[in-house]
Amino acid sequence: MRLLQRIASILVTLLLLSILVFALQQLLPGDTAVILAGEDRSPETIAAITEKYGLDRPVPIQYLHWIGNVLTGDLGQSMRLNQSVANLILTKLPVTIQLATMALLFAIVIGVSIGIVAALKANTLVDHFVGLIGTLGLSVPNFWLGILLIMLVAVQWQWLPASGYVSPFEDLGQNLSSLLLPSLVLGTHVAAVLMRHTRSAMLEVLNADYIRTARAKGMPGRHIVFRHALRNALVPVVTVGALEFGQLLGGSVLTEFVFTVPGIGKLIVDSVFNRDFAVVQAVVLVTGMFYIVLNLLADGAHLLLDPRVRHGGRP
Amino acid sequence: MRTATTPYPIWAPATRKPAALAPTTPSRRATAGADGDAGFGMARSEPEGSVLEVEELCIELEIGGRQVEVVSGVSFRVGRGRTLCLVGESGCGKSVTAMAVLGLLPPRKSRIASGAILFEGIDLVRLPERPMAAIRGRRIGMVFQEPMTSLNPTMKVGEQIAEVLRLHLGMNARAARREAIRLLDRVRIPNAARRADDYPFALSGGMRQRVMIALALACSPTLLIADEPTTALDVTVQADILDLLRELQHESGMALLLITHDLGVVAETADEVAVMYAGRIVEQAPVAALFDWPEHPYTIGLLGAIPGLDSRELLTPIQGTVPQPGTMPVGCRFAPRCPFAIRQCREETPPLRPVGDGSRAACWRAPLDDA
Amino acid sequence: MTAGPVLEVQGLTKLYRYAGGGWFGRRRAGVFRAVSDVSFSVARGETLGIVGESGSGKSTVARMMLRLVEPTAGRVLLNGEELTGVPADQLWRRRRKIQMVFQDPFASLNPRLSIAYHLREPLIVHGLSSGSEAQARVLEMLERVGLTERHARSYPHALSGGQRQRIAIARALAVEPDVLVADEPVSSLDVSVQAQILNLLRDIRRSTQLSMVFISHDLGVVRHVADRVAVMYRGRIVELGPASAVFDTPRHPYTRALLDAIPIPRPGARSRRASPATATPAGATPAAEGGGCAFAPRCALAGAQCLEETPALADVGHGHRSACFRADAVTPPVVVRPEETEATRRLRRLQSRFVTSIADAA
Repeated sequence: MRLLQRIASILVTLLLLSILVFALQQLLPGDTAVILAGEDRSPETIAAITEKYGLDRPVPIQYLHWIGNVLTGDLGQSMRLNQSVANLILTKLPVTIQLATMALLFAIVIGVSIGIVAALKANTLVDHFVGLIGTLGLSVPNFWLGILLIMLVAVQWQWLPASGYVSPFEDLGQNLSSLLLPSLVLGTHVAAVLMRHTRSAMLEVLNADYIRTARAKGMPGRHIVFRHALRNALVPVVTVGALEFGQLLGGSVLTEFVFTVPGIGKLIVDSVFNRDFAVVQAVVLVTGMFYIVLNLLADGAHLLLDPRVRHGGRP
Repeated sequence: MRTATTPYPIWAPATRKPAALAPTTPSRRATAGADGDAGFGMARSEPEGSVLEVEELCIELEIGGRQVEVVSGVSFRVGRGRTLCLVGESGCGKSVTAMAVLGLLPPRKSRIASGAILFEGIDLVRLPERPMAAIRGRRIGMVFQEPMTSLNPTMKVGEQIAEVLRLHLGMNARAARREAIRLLDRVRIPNAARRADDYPFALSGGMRQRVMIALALACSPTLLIADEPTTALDVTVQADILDLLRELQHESGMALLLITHDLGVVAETADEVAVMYAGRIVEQAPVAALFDWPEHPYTIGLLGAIPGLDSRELLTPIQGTVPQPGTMPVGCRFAPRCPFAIRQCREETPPLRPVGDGSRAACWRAPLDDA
Repeated sequence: MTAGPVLEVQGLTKLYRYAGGGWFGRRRAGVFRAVSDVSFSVARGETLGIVGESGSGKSTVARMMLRLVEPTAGRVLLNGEELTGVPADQLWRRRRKIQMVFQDPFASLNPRLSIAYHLREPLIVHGLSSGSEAQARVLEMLERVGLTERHARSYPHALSGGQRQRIAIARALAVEPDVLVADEPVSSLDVSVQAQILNLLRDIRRSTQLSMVFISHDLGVVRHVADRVAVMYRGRIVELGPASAVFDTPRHPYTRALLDAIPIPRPGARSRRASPATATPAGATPAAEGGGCAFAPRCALAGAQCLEETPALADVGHGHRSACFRADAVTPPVVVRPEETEATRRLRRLQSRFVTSIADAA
C-alpha cells in the first residue's frame, strides 16, 4: 500500500521536474531553436533543430515530444562537443559519483565520529572546540579550501597531485590520490552538517529512558553508545546523509572546477559558459532524478533501522 | 565467568565477603528477614539480613545553575527478603535517592555531598564506575516508572534480556536466549518464545513492564529497586504487576525497595515504610504501625487526604504546597503546613527519633496527643 | 427550576476510520469504535462519575459532550436544547452553559497572559460583564476557589499545579454554566493537593446546584464526588447506577475486577486479591472482535452467550443498570471494614485539626 503510494508520488514529482526543466527552455528569451543551437547559428542547424523538436508546434505538443525523447534515452545533442548528451552524461557521471561517494565516506567517518565524541563530552571544552570546528566547516567556502589545500598539500609539500583525473581502470592508486583532495574539500561541509546532526541526535538519545535502563543493566559505556544509542541516533542522521549525497552530486561544481575533475559539475560549468543549453537541461534533469531516488533510499534506510516503521506500527 | 584476580573484590562471586572492606555498622534493630536463600549462607558475617543500608545521605542537584540539596540526611535499611517502601509526593527526593543507590544520577549535574550507601557491606558512594557497573543489573535490579520508553525501541525484547545474561553471567547466545524466554514466561507473558522476538512497540504497557521486571530479575539480584513501577498503568494491570512482584520476591528472597506515592500500594506491599517530605525522611515504621498509629503530622494529613472506597467523609487536605528545593523553610520543613506546629518547629530541625513500637518520627510534637 | 435532566446524552457514538498502514500493507484498514451507544442523563445539582481505564472512551465522551470531538452519531441535549447538529456559529452561545476542566491546567492557560486576563476574557466574550464590573467578578471568582487578588496579577508559570487547576475551575465557573465537565481534573496533582481540589468542587456543588460530569480513572476519587457512577469498558457503559450501589454491590464483573484491583490504604484490608473476576491478565488477550461482550475474554463468569451476543445495559433494580448476562452471579468485593478502635478515633481527631486549620484560613 504505502510502497505503491510512494512510487506514485515519485512519478508525480518526476513529472513536475520534467515540466520545470522543459519550462526553463520556454522561459529563456529568444527563439528556442537558436538557444538550442548554441554557438552554431547557421540557418540549416536552426531549421534542423526546429524540425527535430517540433518547435513550430504548440508548447504542450513540444513537451510531449521532448519527454518522449527523454524517455527513450535521447537527451539531445551537445552542439559544442558534437556528441549525444546521454553519452556525455554517461561518461562524466561516474566520475562525479565516485567523487561524491568518497566525499560522503569522508564526511560520515569524520562527521559521525566527531559528533559522537561531542555528544559524549557535551558542554565540555572538547565539545566547544568541536562546535567551533563545525562552524568553520560550514562557513568556509569550498573553493577557498580547495585552493588552500592545493597550495599546501600539492604545491608546497607535493604529497598529492594538484589537479587532473586518472580513470580507476588505468591506475586505481592514482585515481584515488587524484580524487582525495577534491573529496576532502567537497566533504567538509557535509561532515560539519553530519557532525551537528549526530551530536544533537546522540544527545537526545543518551537522555532517553532506555539508555538509563541499559545503564541500570550494568552495560559498559561503549556498549551503551554503540549498541543502544548509535542505532537510534542514526535514524535521523541517515536521512540527512542521503539528502546530502544529492547535494554533493549537484554541488560538486566548484570543486570539480578548482581541481579540474572531469565530472558532471565541470560539464555543467563548461556548458553554461558555452551556451550548450541541451546539456545544461539534461544535467539538471538527471541531478533532480538523483535527488528523488536518494530520498527514496533514505526512507529505505530509515525502514531498516527502525522496526516501528518496518512493521507498520506508529512511529 | 569472572576470575577472583580482578582488581575489584566485588567481582568475586557474591558469596565471598571482601576482607579489604571495613565491616559495616552493626544493625540497630534486628529485622525479621533471616529467611534469605541458602546460597548466601557464607556471607552471613554481615549484620543480620541487611542488604542495603543508606546512612545520612545528602544529594545535591544543579537546578537553575546552582547546587541545591534535594536529599538531606536520609538513612534507611532494607533487610534481606524484606520490602521497604519509600513514599512521598512529587519532589520529595524519593526517586533521586533510588537513582543514587544505583549510581545513576546525572554525572555533572549532581553530587552525593555526604553519606554512605552500603550494599552488602560495600560503600557504593565511593565505588569506581567499573565495579559499580558490575553490580548494576547483576546484584541490584531496577524497574522504572515509564514502561513505554524504558525499553530500546530498535531491539527485540528477548535480545534486551539476553544481553544482560551474556554480560553478567557469561552465557552464550543460545543459552541466553533460552533463559530470556524462560524469564518472560516467569513474568507470565503468554507465548514467551514468540514474544521474545517482538519489538517493544508491539507490546502493551503492562506487558512492557513485565519485560522490564524480567530484565531486572535476569541475574537473580539480591536487591530490586522499583521506582513507581505501576504508576503509568491501569489499576487492573497494576494489581497484576504488584502480585507478580510479590510472588517473585517470595520465590527468590530478594529485598525490594519500592518507591511510590500511592499509600494504597504501600499498605499492600510494604514490610517497612519510610515517609519522605521535602528531602527528608519524616517518619519510618513497620507498615501496620504507620497506618494504625502514625506520629508525624504529614503522614496523618496524607492518610486523611486519600479519597477511599468506603467513606464519604470530608477529606483532610494539607494546606499549601510542598516547598521548592532551594527555598526550604528553616526548622521542620513541614511546619508551615502543619496544624500542630509550635515555635520550636520553625527554628530547629527535629531529628528522626524513636516514638515506640519500632517507629521513628522527625517531629518535636511526637508522640502526638490531642492537646 | 425545570423538571427533567439538565444534561441528556443519547446514543453517543464515535467511530474512527483508519487507513491501512505499513509499507507492505500489513495493517488492514478498518473502523475503530472509540465510543459505542453511550446514553445517560444528569439531573440538576447531580454529579455523574465516569470511570474507566485507558482506552475506555471516557475522555472521548467528555469531548463529544462539548463537541470538541464531533460525534459520529447520537444527541447531546442541554436543558432540552440540542447541542449536536447546531451550526458552529450558534454553538458557542449554547456552549456557555456547559464548561470543561481538563487534566493539565497548564496546557489550557496562555503563559503570556495574566490570570486576571484568563478569568476576564470569557465574561467579556459572552457579554456577561465588562469594565470594573468584570474586575469585581474576577476577584469574586478567585475568592471562591480559595485564591486572592495577588494571584490575579500573576502569570501561569508562577502558580503551582493545584493553583492552576483552581484557576481553570474559576474560569469555567465564571460564565455560570449549568454543567461542568471535568476530565481527570486531579490526576496530575499530589494527594494532599488533590484533596484540596476535591473539597473545593464539593463546596461549589453544594452552594450552586451545579451539575457535574466527573471523569476519572481513580475509583476512590469518583466514589468521593459522584452521586451516580457509569463504568466504561472499551467504549461502552457496562454499569450505571447510584455510587453506593455500584461500589458496594457491583453487578458487572468488570466493575468487580476494578474494585478488587484498587490498593486500599489500610494494611490487611483485604486478605489477598486472588479475585476470580479476571481469568487472564489485562492486555494479554485482545478484545472480542465483532459480536460478544468486550470483557468476555477476561471474564471468569463468561459463558457461551457472552461470546456471541453483546449484552445491553439492562435494569437490575433501584436505578442500577448492568450490561451483563450474568449480572446476578457477580458477588460483592470482600473488603474488611475498619473497626472502630482507639487508634481510628485518635487518627480522626488528629486529622480534624487539618480541616479546622483550613476553616481558620478561609
